[in-house]
Amino acid sequence: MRRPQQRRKKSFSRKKVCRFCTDKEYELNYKTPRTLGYFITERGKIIPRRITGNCAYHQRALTTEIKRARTIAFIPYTATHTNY
Amino acid sequence: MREYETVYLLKPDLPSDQLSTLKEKFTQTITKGEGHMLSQGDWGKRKLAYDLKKNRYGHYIYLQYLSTGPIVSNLERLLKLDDSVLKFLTVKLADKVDVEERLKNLGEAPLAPEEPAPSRAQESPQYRRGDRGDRGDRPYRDRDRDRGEGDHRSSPRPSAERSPSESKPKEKEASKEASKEVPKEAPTEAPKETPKEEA
Repeated sequence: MRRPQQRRKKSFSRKKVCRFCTDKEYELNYKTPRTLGYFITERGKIIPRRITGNCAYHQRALTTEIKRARTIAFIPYTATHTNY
Repeated sequence: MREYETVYLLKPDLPSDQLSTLKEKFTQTITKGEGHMLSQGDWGKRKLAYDLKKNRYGHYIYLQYLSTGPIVSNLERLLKLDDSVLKFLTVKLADKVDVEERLKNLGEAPLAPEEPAPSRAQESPQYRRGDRGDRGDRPYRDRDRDRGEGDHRSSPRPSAERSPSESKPKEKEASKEASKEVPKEAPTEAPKETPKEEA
């Protein structure tokens, strides 16, 4: 028994645009952990392009920069670095 | 000649004289082997994103230079051998650099130290999704409804037209409110009254 009142599922889809394409000044570099922080999850994983809306070119560049930043301990590999 | 940059991390608690000799040692490997230093930076002690050899902090040092491949591999070998170096990273910035041209435009100051590492809690709610991907919108029916009593899925939104069976929960709520109000005046009577009304 469905009620006609029930609101239809709204599917909002804000248009996502690449942060790096829109703002040319926006620095993409492993030495800027602050900006890289927007593109990783709390656990340190890289956020996929489908969510951030980056273009393919910049997502590729971002990935290498994040990985560089990880190697010199600017960004964590994971949220819990435990030693077993 | 290629342009490279190297960042290396020293132990945070090195005495200053040892620090300067180490820095000297690494820069000399570049200058001795016909490389050219472009800029040097000392980013100082910074908190690490994860512990390195049981150190929570590291002393970051940055080098930018022109050199050839063998010089870089020699520098990296020395960095690896030294116990007080925690980590290092070399990045190639440019291929086939015209040395004289590059040395002319040397005006760049060594890079300013970065702000501290970002907090893990993201500021924008868009990215606070945890690690499971996008699960799409939630169906409306279990969202932010006042769930009356019993089965919340069939619980009605307050509206005029309802079948008698469905309107019961409302009455109960009303009676509850009444019972709350009444005790101030007559605590003993109130609880007895409410069941009667329903019956």
